[in-house]
Amino acid sequence: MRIVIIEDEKITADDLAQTIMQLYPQAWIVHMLSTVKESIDYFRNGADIDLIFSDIQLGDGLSFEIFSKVEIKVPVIFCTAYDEYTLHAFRANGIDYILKPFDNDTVAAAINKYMAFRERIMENTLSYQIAGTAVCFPQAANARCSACVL
Amino acid sequence: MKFKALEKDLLRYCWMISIITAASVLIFHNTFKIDSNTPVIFALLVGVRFFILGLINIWILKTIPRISPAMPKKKQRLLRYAAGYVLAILLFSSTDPFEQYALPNSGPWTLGARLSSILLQSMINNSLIIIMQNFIILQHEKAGTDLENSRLRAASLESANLLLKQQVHPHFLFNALSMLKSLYKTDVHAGEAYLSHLVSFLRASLADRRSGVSDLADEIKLCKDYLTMQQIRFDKALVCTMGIPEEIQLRGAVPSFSIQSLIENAIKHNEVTAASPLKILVYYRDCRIIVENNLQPRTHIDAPSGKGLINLVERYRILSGDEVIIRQDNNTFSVSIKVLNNEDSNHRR
Repeated sequence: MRIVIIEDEKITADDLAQTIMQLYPQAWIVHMLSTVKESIDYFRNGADIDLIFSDIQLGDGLSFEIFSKVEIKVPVIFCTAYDEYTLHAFRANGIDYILKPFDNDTVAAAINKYMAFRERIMENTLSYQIAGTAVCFPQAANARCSACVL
Repeated sequence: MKFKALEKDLLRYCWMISIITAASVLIFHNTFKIDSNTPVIFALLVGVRFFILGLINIWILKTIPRISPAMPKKKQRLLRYAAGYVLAILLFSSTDPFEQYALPNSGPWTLGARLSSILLQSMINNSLIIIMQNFIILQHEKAGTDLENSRLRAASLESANLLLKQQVHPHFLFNALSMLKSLYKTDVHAGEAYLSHLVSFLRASLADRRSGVSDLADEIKLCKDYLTMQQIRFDKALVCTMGIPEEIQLRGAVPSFSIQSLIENAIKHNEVTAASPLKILVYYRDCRIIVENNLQPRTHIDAPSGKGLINLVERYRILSGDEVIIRQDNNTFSVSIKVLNNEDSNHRR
């Protein structure tokens, strides 16, 4: 699980990273970003990640600006001190909303939610794949057969 | 809207005074047994003249500011009087034949006698009407100032309330608590220091400050508490220098939370990043405290109350009548506030 943290307070970012690592040792904090500009640059270059933790108010604007400028197909868990942007969060890939000060339980709940989604989606894609191969096989067999005939 | 009410009042008084004069003419006739065969018609004439003159004056009052709104008030008034008298003379001379009819035996007709009679009557009548109108206008203005006064009082109460809300804004409080929690995990000593700053900031915020003014030294301490907290939060992204002479701190006073809210405003409205740090300068010059910052406006402002600076300007107006000077150029933004006298904070109200 590759995670990026967007947070302008270094201390809070460290705390969050520590909390995540404690809960899910298999998680990997790929990068910690602190401003809107830096984040846009980072995501423009195409980042291979699974999940984003993002503060809303950053030193140079709101983190929603990042998601409106760069298309990011990764779920986001928003963390903020005060809940007044819930609706915006939904429009920006938000799957959960953590209120600061956060504790282990709320962070765990958010990550579990992500994992549950991921499993469900993986199951679906898997069954599609199986169905896909099932359809594919006879064709391939036919092709081979016809090749044989020839 | 305001003028409508005044106009209505003027019209009402105009009616009243016309009826009164007409009635008094009748009574006059009856008591002194003046020889006139048509006292009712004469009384009616006097009343109608009065009423028309009143209407003319109202029209003048309404028209002058519409035609030349830029004209100074004093000139407008003079013009109003002059126009009133001219039109009064016109009215009285044009209605003179009616008077002749109502009072046929007022002596032989001579131009001199008629002219003097017309002049005298129009002067007296118009003066009466102008006096009445001025009285009503004055009354309306007084009612207006009373209203303004009570509005100001309400605004001062509101701004005091707003002040509280602004100081302990939920944003600030939850951010501080979150920071505290993170600090305790990483650096217990820093957490302790942070907590003590937060406590003293909250204590000052919740203190009962009816006067709305605090000693400059207290305000500076408050700002330092606030800044230390923000410094921990923003680290290198925020550079703030405060240089206010010791003796000024001891002598001066400012509205509570004024400097703090200016610092907060700077942080709220500008980019605060390590790449381009926000530099805030607080200094003293010519009896004023100036809070200055490099201008790098944020595109999006979180929790815009839009009232911070307006609130401060309003408070200054109520407290001392001094102006808050706001300056902005390409690179810097600065707000300067007057340092009040220390005694004010102790004895006010």
